[in-house]
Amino acid sequence: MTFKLKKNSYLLIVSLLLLIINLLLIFGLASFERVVYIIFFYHVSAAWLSYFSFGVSLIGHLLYLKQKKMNWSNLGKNSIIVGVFFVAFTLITGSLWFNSTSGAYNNIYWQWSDARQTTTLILLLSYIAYLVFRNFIEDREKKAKLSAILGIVFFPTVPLSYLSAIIFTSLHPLINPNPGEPGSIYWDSIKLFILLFNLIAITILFFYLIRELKELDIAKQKLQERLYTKMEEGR
Amino acid sequence: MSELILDITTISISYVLFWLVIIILILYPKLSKRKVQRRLNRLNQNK
Repeated sequence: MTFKLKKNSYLLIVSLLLLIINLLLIFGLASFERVVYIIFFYHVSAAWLSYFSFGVSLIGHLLYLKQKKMNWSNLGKNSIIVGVFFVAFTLITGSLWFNSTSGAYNNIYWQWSDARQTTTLILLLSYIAYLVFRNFIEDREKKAKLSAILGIVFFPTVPLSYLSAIIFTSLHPLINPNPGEPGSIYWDSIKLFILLFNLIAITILFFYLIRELKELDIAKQKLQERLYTKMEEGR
Repeated sequence: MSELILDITTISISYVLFWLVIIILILYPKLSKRKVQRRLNRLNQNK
């Protein structure tokens, strides 16, 4: 019996393997003052992937408006699907982190005055609104055009979310490779390497997911065309 | 409860959630594609 893997499956296997190796690296190499600091590897990776996804979606939408090819519109939408899941995860882990450190486990998960938390919530809600809005439009061309505009209009929420911890008042700590900087968490090169390892693994996963979602779009398109020809035959 | 236990609980919840997100994102296109394929096959059979 021969077992043939699809080309895309290799991306999935590699990324999952790297994620498992990464877990071993965290427990084998990194040392922390508190165990809860491990959350940062996943929180930062997910935040990076969500920003990256929204960046790809912006490129997809801009290219759609320029070339009018449906592929670009679908890329924009699929990147947003991935981004929304990861930004939601980032928010949840951020809240858990907040409760464990600033809240000292007193069930304080949210601080509206915290710029990073609030702007990231705005970012999440904006892109959820994008997906809902896109779902409501029937006409393909109209759907692609309007959602491309919306995708571009919502994009500034991404740099706003990133810069909010730097510009405005925020309890969000920043990872710093230099020790002793106030408001920052010092991470040595080993921890930074493990974080980079996680970022690579999760970025490979992103490419796998985008290809899978593209295949789903092609299958949906085929179904629509088949339904259309059936309707024509019935007339 | 001690801080260590609460820390471990927090990190465990986060880790499970991380894999849950990944599993959902992997399964969603796979299951949807299967559903679409089934509909296509049914349409072709009813020709």
